[in-house]
Amino acid sequence: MNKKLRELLYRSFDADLKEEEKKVLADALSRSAELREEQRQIETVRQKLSATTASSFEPFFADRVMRRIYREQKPKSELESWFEPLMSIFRPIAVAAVFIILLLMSYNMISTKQISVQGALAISNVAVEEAFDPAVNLTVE
Amino acid sequence: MFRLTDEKLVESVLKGNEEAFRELVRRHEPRVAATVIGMLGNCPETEDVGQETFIRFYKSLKNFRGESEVGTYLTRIAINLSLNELKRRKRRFKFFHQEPGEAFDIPDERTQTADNGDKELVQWAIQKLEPKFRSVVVLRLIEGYSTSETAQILKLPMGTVLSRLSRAQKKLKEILSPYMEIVNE
Repeated sequence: MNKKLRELLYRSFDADLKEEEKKVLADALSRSAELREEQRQIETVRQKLSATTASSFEPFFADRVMRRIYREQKPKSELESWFEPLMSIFRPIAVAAVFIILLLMSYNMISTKQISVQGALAISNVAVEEAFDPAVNLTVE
Repeated sequence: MFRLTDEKLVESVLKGNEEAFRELVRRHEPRVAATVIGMLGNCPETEDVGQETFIRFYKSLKNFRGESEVGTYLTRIAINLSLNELKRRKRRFKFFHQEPGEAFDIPDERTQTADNGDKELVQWAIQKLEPKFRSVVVLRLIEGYSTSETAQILKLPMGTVLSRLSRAQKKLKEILSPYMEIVNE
């Protein structure tokens, strides 16, 4: 089927064709059964689409919308209005603190050459005996 | 209140009558629902997007100058919010390595009953379209806006709307042709 004619057919449903184009299309439709079949199929699809219009949300939708509006309009409590500016001030500080902690932990892991929680926290493995070994920990002057 | 025009209702809301807004919601719910359900399919998110559409409208009432009709204004908000939701959905599906289209099952022929079956089948076919094609189909072919109104709502040139419409219809015909007999019954 001629691509141009096909395009013209599709366009004829949604745009005003020029007189000349209308003539060309009418002529093609009278000659081509394939084009007529295509036209019938498009009409069917369009009819089915327009028949799907009736829609609604769950019952009492308007009530739910109004409830949300009332809720959003409700003035905030004193405690909430006191905490909110504090939260916005401390949020960037908290993010920076987390970043610094992560940086320190990775530095610890690199310097102790241990990829573990102990390495990250720079805790060395000390046995109980070692901890209480007077030769290591205590020096008598 | 039920006989008032949309413009009068908007004026009334601006004077503090919130019941007038409830009437606007009731009046325009079907249009917003058709847009949102058309764009997102029947899923739990449609209710949230529908509510958000009216809440955005309520918040922007002071700036609403009546240049377009309330219905058209609401449709524009609903389309934008639906497109945002589709982007979010795409990101979610990407995260779980799944194609968005896979989420919608082909409606079972055996459970289809006349109109309901057709509706489900058409809805399923629409969900197979890319969002940019879906939006023109919903506005022009489901909601019945004119081609120029569709172009205005989507802020697109007429030529783009026309070419998207013809490509969308070709695609829909392709998707639905195996089921065309069911559709035609």
